Amino acid sequence: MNHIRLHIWMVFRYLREGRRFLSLNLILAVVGVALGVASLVIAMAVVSGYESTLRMTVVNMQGHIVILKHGGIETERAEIEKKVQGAVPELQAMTPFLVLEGLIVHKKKLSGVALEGVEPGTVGLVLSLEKTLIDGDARLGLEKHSGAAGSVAMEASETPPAALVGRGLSQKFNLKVGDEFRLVIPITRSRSQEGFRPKTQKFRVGGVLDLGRADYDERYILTDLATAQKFGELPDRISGWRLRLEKDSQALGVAKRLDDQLGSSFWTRTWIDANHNLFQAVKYEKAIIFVIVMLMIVAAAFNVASTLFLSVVRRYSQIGILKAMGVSAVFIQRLFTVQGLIVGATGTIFGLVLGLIGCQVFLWAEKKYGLFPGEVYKLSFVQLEVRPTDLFLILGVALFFCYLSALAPAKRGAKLLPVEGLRYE
Amino acid sequence: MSDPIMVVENVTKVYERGGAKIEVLKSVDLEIYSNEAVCILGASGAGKSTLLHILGTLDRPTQGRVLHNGLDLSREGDEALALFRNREIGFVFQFHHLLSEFSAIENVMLPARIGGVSEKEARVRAHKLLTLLGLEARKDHYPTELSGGEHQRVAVARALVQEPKILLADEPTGNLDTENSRQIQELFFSLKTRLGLTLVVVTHDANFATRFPRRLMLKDGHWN
Repeated sequence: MNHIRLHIWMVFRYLREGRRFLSLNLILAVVGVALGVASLVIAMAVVSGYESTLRMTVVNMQGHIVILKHGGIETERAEIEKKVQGAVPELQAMTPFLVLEGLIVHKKKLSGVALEGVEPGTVGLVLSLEKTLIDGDARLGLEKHSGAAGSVAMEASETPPAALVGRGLSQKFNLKVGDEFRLVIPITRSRSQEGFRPKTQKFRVGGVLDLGRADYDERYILTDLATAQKFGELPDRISGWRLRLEKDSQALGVAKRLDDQLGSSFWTRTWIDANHNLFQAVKYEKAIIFVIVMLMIVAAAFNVASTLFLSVVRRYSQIGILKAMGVSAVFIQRLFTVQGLIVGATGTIFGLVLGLIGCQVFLWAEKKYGLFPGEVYKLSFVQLEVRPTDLFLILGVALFFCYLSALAPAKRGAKLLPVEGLRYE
Repeated sequence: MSDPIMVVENVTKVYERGGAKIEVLKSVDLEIYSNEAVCILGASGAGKSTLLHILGTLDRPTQGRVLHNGLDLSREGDEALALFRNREIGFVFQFHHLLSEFSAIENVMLPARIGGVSEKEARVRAHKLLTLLGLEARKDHYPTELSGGEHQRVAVARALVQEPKILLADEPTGNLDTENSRQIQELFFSLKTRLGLTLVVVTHDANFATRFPRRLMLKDGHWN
């Protein structure tokens, strides 16, 4: 115990260099580590945040699992729903949907879109439309038409059915809540005839959604299921269901179970499958960014090493006299290694705090200047996510490199023969 | 006569510098008895300091051995030698070698704390010694705030804090003016008497040397 106290006493005296608060060399070494750690914290928060935002936007827009059947589902809808509910205890909600591919035509401009018919009563339990609504009303937009859809002919309806459009579409076509636009979809001719005939339908913008991803925002239009079925001339037809589970991580297991239970005519896609390559790319990118930014910590560790080398060389005579007083080589090695670790730990703690402050500054800058062009990064806004695992990893890496950097000078001091140290004046 | 406290047997020390071998000590023998005061004299480069360092286990002989109370120190490991230096030997050097980061009393406390003595006990011992050496008022001063004589007296106090049997001093007055030199000489002999120390001093100072009952002269690595 006395030895530990002696160590701590001597280490802090050496770090303070007597009565001074902190030496400049030491401050620079701490700052170097702090900057490296802060950079790593911010970089990891950005990449983790990108990954989480990506996952969130995919889940919010597609649900955890999509069940599909080639050619769609009509008669067996109730039966399958019952089967799914029985087979998936993790299920929180499921909602049917119908997708129609088409073109939006507005003010002499057109663009390919996906019109998705969703069930107003259950869609909110699976997809987070309320959270993504930036203008108008999500529920109103879907429900207002549902009453009229069944009774009034679409084209003849005085009030066109309401639809929710993505922010990208709204900007591209300058659509605001209340504006009307046309959709054109291909309708399959009867079996005897080949090809398609076009069908046009007017819609009214009930709300604008920010789905978080540029490709979704420029493509998706939502309306209620009955409207879509009527427009597509596909009564009682759905493309499939979207499922919401308790946890994101349950998707793969549940999908496998469903594949087994529903038979080969059905297939499932999880939120991971939907963007597999992108998630993989983000994972690799995170590892690469970690290694690259970590080099800053390695460079800072060299700074710690040089500071300690200087400290050892300046104290050659002191090491000699300490050894003459009965200090062992192990004691000397520990004396300088602990100094390195203290510099590393101080730098790391400052770096973590600086990094967290940097994250807030980054978020502010992102909101103010839009650092992520949606067309490039797919996401229009990235929430930063500071994961405890990332912080522990950074802490571990920084301390490890500071320890390594301290070892060489500490060993040099420890190896010094007392008589060699005493020759220095 | 009792057995010698330290024995140097046939010690040779060879240094290699720039590929050339320099034989500093050539088959030197020496016996030191308890409570003895020995002075080692000789010209620069005669091997006086090297012999003192080997005697204090700060350096290892190339050949030969050093015994302490019959124990062959040349065979001991670094840890055991560190413990031996802490418990049995006190060193005083020409250039004082006080640790600049520590106050006078802290410098004196260090060997005791290294030896596992509690901070409180070490402080009591250091305070007592500094008072004995007339440095009570300077105990909280840092080395940069002390004069040459005060430096050396703090170094003596530090050498004695573990109550060693042997005090080894390498040119302890070499860096001091006449008055301070005289004070340190007085101090050495009064401490020897009071604490029953064995004193081995390397010096150039002829006046200081005359006060020792046993004087040994080294010349070119041999006893002269």
